[in-house]
Amino acid sequence: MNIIFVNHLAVPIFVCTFVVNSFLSNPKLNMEQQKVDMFMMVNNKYFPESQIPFIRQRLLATDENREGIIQSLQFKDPIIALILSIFIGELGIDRFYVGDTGLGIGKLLTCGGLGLWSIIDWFLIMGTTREKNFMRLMTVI
Amino acid sequence: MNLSRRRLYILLLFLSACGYLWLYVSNSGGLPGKWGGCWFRYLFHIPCPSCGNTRAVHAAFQGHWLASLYYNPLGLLLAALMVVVPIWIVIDLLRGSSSFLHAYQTIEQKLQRWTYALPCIVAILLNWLWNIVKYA
Repeated sequence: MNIIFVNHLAVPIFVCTFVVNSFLSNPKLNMEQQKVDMFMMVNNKYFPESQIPFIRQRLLATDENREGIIQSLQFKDPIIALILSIFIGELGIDRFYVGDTGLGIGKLLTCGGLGLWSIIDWFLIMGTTREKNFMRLMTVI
Repeated sequence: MNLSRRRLYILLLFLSACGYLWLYVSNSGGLPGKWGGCWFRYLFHIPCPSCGNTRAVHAAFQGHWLASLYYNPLGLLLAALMVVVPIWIVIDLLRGSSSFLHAYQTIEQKLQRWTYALPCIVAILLNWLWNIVKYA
């Protein structure tokens, strides 16, 4: 009887100790790991692959108050950028989409750099979009 | 705009050099074949908003402003950029300042607002319509 009682209590006591300990050791509440994992799972396609561990680390160290701002950020889709680049890249629309207005005007005025810049951008635009998204996130966290 | 000063300056100097090279090539007979530098026109047989810019820049450099305006009003803007941008960048590089970068970022931020972007978009579309009427 005693053993069953102890076994039943063991888990709740462990959980309570863990929660209390985590609160005591971490007075400034950071984003929960589960939320960060969820965020990364949903949004990792928007960021450069090489930066994902760094972003995760930064998110874990970010104040919980910033969570709302981070969740409300809208990122540019690299696939849409690529589609725009393939079909209307010569008019610079892909560069306008990712926020490179100056280069977009450059492409527009030069017929997409005489067509060559448009073709080069087919290969660069997805990486550029991810870099832009990364920069955008870094301004918040 | 997150391009660093160095990357932006190199890119724009390279583009300016390509622009002058293209002017030289087109002035001496152009490239062999039908390709005139515009994929859009080549594929769809419809001029793009910037078609006629090469002729317009040539005319502008020879002082034929009205002809340049007729070929494509954007050509005057392009000719001005081709002269001003490399000189400004070289001066910036010699003096070690970033005045061009700051101006570029300011203009870019303004153009990202709808109040400035919308008139520009309308002007480009009207120019495109005129281009289609002229060159199609």
